[in-house]
Amino acid sequence: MSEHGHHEVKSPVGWMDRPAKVKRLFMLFYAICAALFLSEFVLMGTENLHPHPLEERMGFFVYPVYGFISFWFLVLLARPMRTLLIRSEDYYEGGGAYDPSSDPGHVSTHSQGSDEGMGHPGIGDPGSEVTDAR
Amino acid sequence: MLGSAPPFVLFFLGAIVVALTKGTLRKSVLLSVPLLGLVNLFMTAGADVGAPSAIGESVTHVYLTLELLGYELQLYRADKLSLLFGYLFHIAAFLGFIYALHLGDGIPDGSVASEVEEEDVIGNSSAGMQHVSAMLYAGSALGAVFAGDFITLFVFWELLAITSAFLVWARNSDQSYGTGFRYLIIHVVSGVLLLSGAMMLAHQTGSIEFGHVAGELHGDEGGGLAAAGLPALLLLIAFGIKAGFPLAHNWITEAYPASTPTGTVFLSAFTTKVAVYALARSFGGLDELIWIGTAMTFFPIFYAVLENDLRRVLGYSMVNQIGFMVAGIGIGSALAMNGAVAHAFADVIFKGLLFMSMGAVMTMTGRTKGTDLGGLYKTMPLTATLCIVGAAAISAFPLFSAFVTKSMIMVAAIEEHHYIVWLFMLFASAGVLEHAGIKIPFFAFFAHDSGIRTKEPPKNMLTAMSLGAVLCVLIGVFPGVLYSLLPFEMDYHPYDTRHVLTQLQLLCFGALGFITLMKTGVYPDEKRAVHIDAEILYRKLGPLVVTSVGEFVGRVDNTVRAKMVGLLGSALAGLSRIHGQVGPLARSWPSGNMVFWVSLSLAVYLLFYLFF
Repeated sequence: MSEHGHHEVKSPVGWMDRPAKVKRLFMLFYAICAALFLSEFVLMGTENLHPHPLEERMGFFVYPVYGFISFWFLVLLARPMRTLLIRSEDYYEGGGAYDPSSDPGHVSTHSQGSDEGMGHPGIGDPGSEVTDAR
Repeated sequence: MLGSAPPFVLFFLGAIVVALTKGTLRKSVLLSVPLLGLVNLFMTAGADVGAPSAIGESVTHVYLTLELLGYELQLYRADKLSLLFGYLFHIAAFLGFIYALHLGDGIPDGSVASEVEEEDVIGNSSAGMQHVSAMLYAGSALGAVFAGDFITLFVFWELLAITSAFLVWARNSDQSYGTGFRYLIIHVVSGVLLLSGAMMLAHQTGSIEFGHVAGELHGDEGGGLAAAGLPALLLLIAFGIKAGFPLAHNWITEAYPASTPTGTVFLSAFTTKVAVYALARSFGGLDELIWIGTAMTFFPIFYAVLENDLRRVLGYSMVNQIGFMVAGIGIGSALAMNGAVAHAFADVIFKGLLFMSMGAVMTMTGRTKGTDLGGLYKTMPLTATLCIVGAAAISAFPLFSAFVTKSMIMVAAIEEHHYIVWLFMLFASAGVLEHAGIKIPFFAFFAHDSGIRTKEPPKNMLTAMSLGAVLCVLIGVFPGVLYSLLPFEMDYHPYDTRHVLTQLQLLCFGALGFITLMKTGVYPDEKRAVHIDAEILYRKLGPLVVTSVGEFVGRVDNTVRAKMVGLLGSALAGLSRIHGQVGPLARSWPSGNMVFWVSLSLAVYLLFYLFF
């Protein structure tokens, strides 16, 4: 790669630039999740050596539900926390409040026009969604 | 002969040799010191303490003592607990030095780090200083771990602080100077508290032995902190500062991102783990630690979601992981204590691997912020893969290291009926997956393509990361080796259908949660900003209080001075009015006046005489 190769967007093209591949990967992951959800029936047949009151009370699907809810809880609590605590990057060097207009967000070292096909879809999605969310 | 030499001696001598040599010779010294040390430790203390016949009994060997002011200092004491950390620190030093081997060889091929504003973002210019201080730092950690008394511990405690501060300063930026000084002050304060506590303890008990403190003072274990008294509290705060207890945790999140790519790898390995070791030795079973540890697992994960600098995210992750260890030490059962130290062992490897992968990204791109990175899997596929191995290890996926270590603490929490603690820790485990398991590799290597095109890091970096990754998997697949090194007897088998399946359920549905959060746009985006944390106390409020108190005192001082000067002035003016040249008392009075006053007083006297 040339010294300035990082400005050339098109090469190399990664697997994430191929929507079909990303989609297949996601389908695989969803299948794994489904299998793990069904594996609850396997668990019913095993003895729990260290039962927790939560498991005794809820009975089934404790871990999938807990894992899923934990992520949402984490993020839903982190968002108001950000509103309260966010400050400018140079806050400790004398800066003040956070100014969204001076934050370029995600930057690319290549121009936006040649960004076609990048970061879409699937795992690539968040990048664009992240920018949209702001 | 070598057997009686404490492990730190080899490293301190090695540091001198490293300082005097250059090039290939220096590199071979860097690699051979930890290897020789490991062999030495294995052949001597390892053979004495860890021998098969010794299992089940508490075997302690003291190899080197020194008399000082009537106290016996134990410079080299080994038992199973210290031996485990001894092995760990040798491995960490070895991996760290492989990782740092390219320093001073110029900018790696393909690195675009020069694009960023910072002059020496990869820390190339201070290679010698970094090698020497890292060698001394590793030696100090070993010295602390094999110290048999609090005085020796104190000496190495402070040496840890001083030697590692140079790794922060090595970045040679304005920010790292300030951060390094704050880091040093915080750690020196910790050392002073340690010495004060140790001296008070020696006064009360007559012993300076580095052992179980709460039990020493109270007569039994688990007597609580209140029963143990002030010396124990001072020692706990001293250890707690280094372990990153809540409110004292920001030195971690400040210093780690401020150091060089290679310096942070060393920083992440030693200081906090020495503190965990000290807590395990002195405060095992202290109830307060359960909740302190739980708090440490809990709050940093929120910051980790919001933080932009990926090495700072790993700093918060560090606090979170130490939280599990501290809680395990607080629970205090054999399984929990084993879990805590085993998790410390695993953590040094997988957290080291994660810091190495971020250091590799920093070396090759000059950037560590989520907003600047993304899409690097295209040009750094090996680094990305190794980072994912570290991410899987810290997230406790089956067949990876944390699965066999963290679960011991979780099971111990249930066994000891700490149900709420267990719920918090399970939530924190999901949080680990979010910030370290998904966020770190995702934002650095995938996500939105930043357009940065670079190459894989130098071979030595890849080698160190590969070795780290192999260890993460080996510990996960063959936990028996690590278990046999643990200090307490236990019967624990991590691999059963229920544990594997429930853990996979937790993690995969957590990841599913992440995907839904992303798809719905609820997941907070990366922002170029800081989020206020406890450090505001000494970085903003402290200076503010000092300056405003200074201003207030200055103003009061000025006013009082002005008032006093005014008062003095008017007093002087008054005096000069009376005594001055034209004042009534300074006037020359005619003698007739005197005659008048004398006759008047005589007349008054006569009147008194006549009538009274």
